[in-house]
Amino acid sequence: MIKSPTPLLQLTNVHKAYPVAQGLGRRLRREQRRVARAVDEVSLTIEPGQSVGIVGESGSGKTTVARMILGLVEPTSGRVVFEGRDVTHVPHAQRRRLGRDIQGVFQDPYSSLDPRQRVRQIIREPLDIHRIGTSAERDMRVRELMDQVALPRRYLHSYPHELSGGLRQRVGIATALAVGPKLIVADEPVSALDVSVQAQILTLLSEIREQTGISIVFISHDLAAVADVCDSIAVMCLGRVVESGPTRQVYQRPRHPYTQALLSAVLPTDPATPYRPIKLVGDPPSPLEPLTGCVFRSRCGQAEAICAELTPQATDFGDGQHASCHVAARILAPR
Amino acid sequence: MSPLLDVNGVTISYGDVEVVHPLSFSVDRGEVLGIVGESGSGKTSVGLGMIGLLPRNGRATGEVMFEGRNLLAMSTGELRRIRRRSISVIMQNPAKALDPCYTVGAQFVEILRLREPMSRRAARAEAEQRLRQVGIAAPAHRLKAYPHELSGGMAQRVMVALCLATNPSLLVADEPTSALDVTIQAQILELLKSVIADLSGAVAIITHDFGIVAQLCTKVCVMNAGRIVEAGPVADVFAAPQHEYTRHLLSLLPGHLHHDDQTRPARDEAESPI
Repeated sequence: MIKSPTPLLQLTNVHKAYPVAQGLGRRLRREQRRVARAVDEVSLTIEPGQSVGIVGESGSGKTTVARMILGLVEPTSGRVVFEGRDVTHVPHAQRRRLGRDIQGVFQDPYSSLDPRQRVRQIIREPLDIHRIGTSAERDMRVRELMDQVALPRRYLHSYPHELSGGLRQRVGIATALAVGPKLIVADEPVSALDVSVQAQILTLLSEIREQTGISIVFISHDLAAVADVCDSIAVMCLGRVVESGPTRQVYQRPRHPYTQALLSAVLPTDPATPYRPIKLVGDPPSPLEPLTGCVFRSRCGQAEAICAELTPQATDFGDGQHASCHVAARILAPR
Repeated sequence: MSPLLDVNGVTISYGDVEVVHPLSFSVDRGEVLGIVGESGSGKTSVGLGMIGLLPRNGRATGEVMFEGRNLLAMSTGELRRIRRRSISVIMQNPAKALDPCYTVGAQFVEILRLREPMSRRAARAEAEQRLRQVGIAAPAHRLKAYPHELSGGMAQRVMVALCLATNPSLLVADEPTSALDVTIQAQILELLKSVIADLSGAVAIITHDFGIVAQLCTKVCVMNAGRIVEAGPVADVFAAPQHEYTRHLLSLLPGHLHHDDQTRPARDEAESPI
């Protein structure tokens, strides 16, 4: 892939650790405060017009990454650069300008829409906040946006509770598009929806991408949903990106054992196809415990002695695909 | 001989609204029925209603013959006795289905002692044994744990073990893996597969996921808007779906992850049938 001189968004070695609540006893004994490492050394580049999927299990830190991009969470360390400008620690008061460029679509369209506002007010609010156009122009724009997300205009004066899940998510997408952002961060936008409605929303996101050239960061635990919308993906495991690359390529030839396990766990939908998921032993390790070496080694069938000692670095396989795995680096690296 | 569970003309309504219109199906010993549909299709109402587990404002009419008796014509006490002895339900969310105030061991011992008189010590020993069977390491340690101390996958394993403790002749599973991660889902499905193979009774699985139906079930009812739109052996329904709605749902499945050379078929943009 040819890298343009300034990527749209660049995360460099971002970390996020959350302090863990501690009881009085521990505090009196002045025990060192424990932290949960949600995101550990994540680097990610998004080019203009590109859409990137982030997949992983719950607790892998994918939502924390989304929130850091949106500026809702400040990284403990590392840098977030948007269009060449460091936005890691922009004070709250100056965030507004950034809000015109980066917008979010959230998982639950039931709780992310204000129940006391009508659809017109919800979609119009970002235009009011950013003082875009005259009042009449804003109302025009609301109708355009409703057309763009295929939300029938008869819902203009409806309240969120009167809409189905799919329609609500369309309102959420219209609101995100209202200010004409360059990047949309969609955090599990279809997980709360039924399969047939999921398909409609995914189609809508793909269409919007084609029409507007907007970049999308698509966060999901559903590998199939990501495949529809994204050109490239990053697979996260316990706060780290363990594999990244062009979507089709990663799905066809996963190099990290964790990606292989995730893909093998997707249920085949043909009764004749045998289901042989790669068996992972036990549960993901706790982010509270300090862990040396590879984050996946405790559940990995291919783990070796080195995996416990040394944290694997991302290996470039020369075809756009990167994987952080000692075993893959040795076996699969092209000569 | 009549099947183990014979559902005949059952309707379910909440208040004045009939959400499940008269429908019939049956499950026999050795069969695994999948009841599949989208949210609001009435699949959970049917699955739980047929064994008398509707919320207070729900009402089921019709006939549910189980081991030769009509479950819907029984008193609550009688129904409870039958459920205690022969019917188990695996709920979607194990964290909510287990009692947060009691340890896993206490809940296990209660169920085992309801099944037959036995000493607490013997019940604990059996509980350990049963936890080991569902793949829980250090079962003695887990018996002392409260449900919130278990991960989602482990809680669902405990749930499965509890459900099997009474040797039920009917096992109902309501979205048994929907609350779990994909890797944990794989573990639980493997477990359910082996559990079903060992079970001499009948199984009904309520799910929205055709993948689960394809992997676990022998027959399937596809529900839409309170009606069964298609029913039959799993292999037949998947190979040649007759109803438009079934075809639509099957067309949305992500088959391409397993067929590398195929490009994904275009998404169907039909309005939601609901």
